[in-house]
Amino acid sequence: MNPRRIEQPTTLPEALAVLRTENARPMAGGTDLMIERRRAPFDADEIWVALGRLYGLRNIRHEEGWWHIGPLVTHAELADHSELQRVAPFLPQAASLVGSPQIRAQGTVGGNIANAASCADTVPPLFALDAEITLESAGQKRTVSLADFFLAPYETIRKRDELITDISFPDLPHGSRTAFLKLGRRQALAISRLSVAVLVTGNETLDDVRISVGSVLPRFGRLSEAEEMLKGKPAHYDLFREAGRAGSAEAVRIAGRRWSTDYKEPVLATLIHRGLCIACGITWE
Amino acid sequence: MKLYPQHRRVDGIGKVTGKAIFGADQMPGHLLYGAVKRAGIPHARIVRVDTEKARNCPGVRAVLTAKDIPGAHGFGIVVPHQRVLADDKVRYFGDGVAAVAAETEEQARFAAEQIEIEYETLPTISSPEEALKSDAPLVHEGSNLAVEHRVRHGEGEKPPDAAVTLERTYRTQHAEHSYIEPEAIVAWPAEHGGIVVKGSVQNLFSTRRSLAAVLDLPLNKVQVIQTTLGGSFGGKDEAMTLLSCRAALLALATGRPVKMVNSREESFIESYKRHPYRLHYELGADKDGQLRSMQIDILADAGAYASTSQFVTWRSTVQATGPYRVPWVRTRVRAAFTNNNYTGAMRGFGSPQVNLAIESFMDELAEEVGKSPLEIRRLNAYRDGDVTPTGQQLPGKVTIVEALEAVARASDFERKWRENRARQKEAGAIKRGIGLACSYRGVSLGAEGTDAAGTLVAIQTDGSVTISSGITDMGQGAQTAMSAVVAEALGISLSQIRFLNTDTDRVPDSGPTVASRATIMGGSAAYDASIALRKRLLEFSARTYRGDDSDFRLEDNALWRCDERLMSFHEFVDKAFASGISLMALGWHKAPKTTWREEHGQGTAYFTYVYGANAAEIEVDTQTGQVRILDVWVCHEVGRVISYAQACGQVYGGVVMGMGYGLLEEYYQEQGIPRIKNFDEYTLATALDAPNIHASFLEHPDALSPIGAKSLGEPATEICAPAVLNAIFNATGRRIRELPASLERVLLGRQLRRHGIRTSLAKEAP
Repeated sequence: MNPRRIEQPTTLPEALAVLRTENARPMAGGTDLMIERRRAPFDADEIWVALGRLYGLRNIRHEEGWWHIGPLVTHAELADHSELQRVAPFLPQAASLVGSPQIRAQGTVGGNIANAASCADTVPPLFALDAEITLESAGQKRTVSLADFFLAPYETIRKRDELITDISFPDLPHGSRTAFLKLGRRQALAISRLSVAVLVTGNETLDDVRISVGSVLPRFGRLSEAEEMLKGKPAHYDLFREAGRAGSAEAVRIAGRRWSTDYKEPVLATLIHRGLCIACGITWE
Repeated sequence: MKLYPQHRRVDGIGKVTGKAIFGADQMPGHLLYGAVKRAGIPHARIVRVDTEKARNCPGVRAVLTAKDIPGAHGFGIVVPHQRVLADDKVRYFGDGVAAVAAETEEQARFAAEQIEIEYETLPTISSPEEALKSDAPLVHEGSNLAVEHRVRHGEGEKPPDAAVTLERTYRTQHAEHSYIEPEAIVAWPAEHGGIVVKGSVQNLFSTRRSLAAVLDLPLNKVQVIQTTLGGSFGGKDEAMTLLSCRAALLALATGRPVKMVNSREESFIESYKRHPYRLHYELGADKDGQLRSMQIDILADAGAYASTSQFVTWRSTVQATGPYRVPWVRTRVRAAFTNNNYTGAMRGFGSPQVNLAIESFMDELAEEVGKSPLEIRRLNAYRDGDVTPTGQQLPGKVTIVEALEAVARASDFERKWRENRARQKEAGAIKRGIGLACSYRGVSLGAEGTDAAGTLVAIQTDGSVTISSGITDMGQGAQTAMSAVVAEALGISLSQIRFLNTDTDRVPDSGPTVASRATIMGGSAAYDASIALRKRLLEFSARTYRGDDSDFRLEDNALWRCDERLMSFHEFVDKAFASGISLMALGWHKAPKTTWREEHGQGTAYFTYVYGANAAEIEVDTQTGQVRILDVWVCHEVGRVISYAQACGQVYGGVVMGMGYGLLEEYYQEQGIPRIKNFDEYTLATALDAPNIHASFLEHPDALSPIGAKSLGEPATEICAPAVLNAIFNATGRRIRELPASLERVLLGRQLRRHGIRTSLAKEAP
């Protein structure tokens, strides 16, 4: 299972230079990579580029109306971030539900995104936040929306020699409220069977509604039909129930029917409904 | 005997500080590493094995196939047909065909992959139902029917007439032991031409017998030593014999020590599992719910080899009707060979399956006749002197009702059960439920086989003591229990005792450490040895310090004459030794006789029984299928509690294991191909899932046990699952009859199956 070589660059240019080597693979925490390598055949002629010493990519900061989350911020750090807990609570909450204390201490947000598992817990809230990803390689830099970043499960537009260097999202609209729900088979170390992130804005009526889901769609994403049917309407339990059903139907339409759809279709409707209720302070039960 | 309310595990500090040495920690010099080429297909005839390429790989020192085995090719406690390395056929995915020893683990694994095997594929039998069809291909010569047991109780060919009849089918799944330490062994050639094998072995004497047969060596040249075990739950028997034999063959072939450690994936695909059962139950009862008859037909999946199926299903046969009076019983339990993982011993040993069925069934009967689960059990439960379906009058005090009443009272069962039931139809997604389950269980091996054990107690001249036993500790606490017995008998403190890991060269064959027999058998043998030592020492004191034997006693680490403290234990034993008194004694305990007549399934199946009950309170999210277990109340009658902390430990672990079996765990194979190979998808309950567990014990020291204690390890895990399923019914009004009660089963009433492997793995598949 061991790679032939492990590099631990201390600066970004150094890291980007190593990444240009054939067979180089970035490791940002390694909680997925280590397991994946255990299963792979013996050939492992890889160079692992352990990014843990790029301390500059491990900050959360707020600048000119944008939040910037360094890709090497761990789930534990994100979960504990008091300012984000206040302005966008669903993001730290999602991070707090990843794996176990050990995995949260080791795993990173950048790794979570780059690995592109459809059950990645931090991605649905980032989608709802309209997050952008900055990718850098030696000499190049580009920023794309999350929606453009993912291609398929475990596939993204990131080139082999690119690193995620920033995850950013604009300030939330005034009066935004959020909710995140994760459904797993158990209370810890659970791969999400389904997750839902909800962001709503508005007082009397819903000005903006964003619903994004995990473990359902091949490329993540928002459920725009459900979002649209809520905009401009007053928050209400029954309306949210309808939106849940519509959102779930929309997700199934996008993803196609799979072995798990008979279960996920009704439960996704439930979770969307509950997420909307929670965000709007309505009792869902 | 006085009770020891609290003491910590004698092995605890070593384990929590990382000082304990496990099988894989061993690093002798000149070590080679072994690896296995496994079948990777469920059923095929071996046409040709080409090891040429592997032999030429870097670092390789030996490549062995079945042809290189000097003695027996097969082993097995009932049928010796499980191959150390497959010769004629492969019978399941995890079968080993060749073994390699090389200088590094990676070289060994790489070389093993280079072995080329030509197969003639055979049709896969993926279920026992398929196996028993008349035109089914055979897994072994003869028949696919591995076992058939029957019980006939009550006169007449037909069941007596009954006002109420009920018929239900339940199913259970393959379950993995999930010991935290995967199988590990080091084998090395011994100076006398034999072999030494040291590692995570549960049943050293069975493994030694198999090694001797396979290597064609006498038993006195085969030494099996146990390292500290990281759990077993019944799982390190044949799985370790297999690993030990392969490592020993490689060690003898190379003249060097060979280490073999299974990865978790290898452990999953190779090791045996708990038997999946299909259980068909029919009953006749009076209209008030008094049982009149029961007809039970059970079919188990034995998998590829016989292993302990014979005994596992036999225990099911004896206990299938649960702790209830039934005048007329016909039980048939069969197991069939398939191309799935072989199945064998796992904590419970044939009881979790039948308890799931009978305890669900009793609730279904209660529903049918309009009684509460507690009332139906009170009405039918065994009382003192009742006779079991095998014709055995229950010995001693029968405490099943006492245990039931204890958990019912502690949990406020009746009130909650009625309230939850009334709320089923009310609005709201989250429903509460409470469920009851109970069991009786035969203690130790019963009529399975010889039941005797030996423990050696050696007092050192400084007053410290070593205990070594043919009964092993695997993490279950046997060494603390035996140490407590010795400490009590010799009047010394626990800290003066060291328990040695088992070594077949130094202790008598005591049978396997299974069947919750460690405390009663090993502990009684330890008691026997301690009493002999005490007697010897007190006779010596009476002679030396003048007086009657009965004037002297050992207490508080000292010798006493009446109320006078004469000297410390240390001084005393030193003097005794100086006078030529032996400070070592071998204790031996033989269990009371049991009998069995197979034809009608009648006899004194076990010499005594334990009784227990669980009540589980849960919350069900009826819109997602999520079940949270909030509280479990537990009461076991165990004869006598030797160590309260250890007893609670067994209960806590047992309940969490039982809840995993009930809600989460399933080892799933698709047409003989394992689809779950690690703990990412084999979901065990975590600490966050664990409920509040309220343990209590009833003590009625058993006359048939010298130390009064009976069994707890397996009783503790065998009734949680049915209590949870009964609670789900109480919450939702919907009955789940198949394990595990997954999200999908709770919400939809059926399991959903992914075909093939998970996406994250598919992307790497060749």
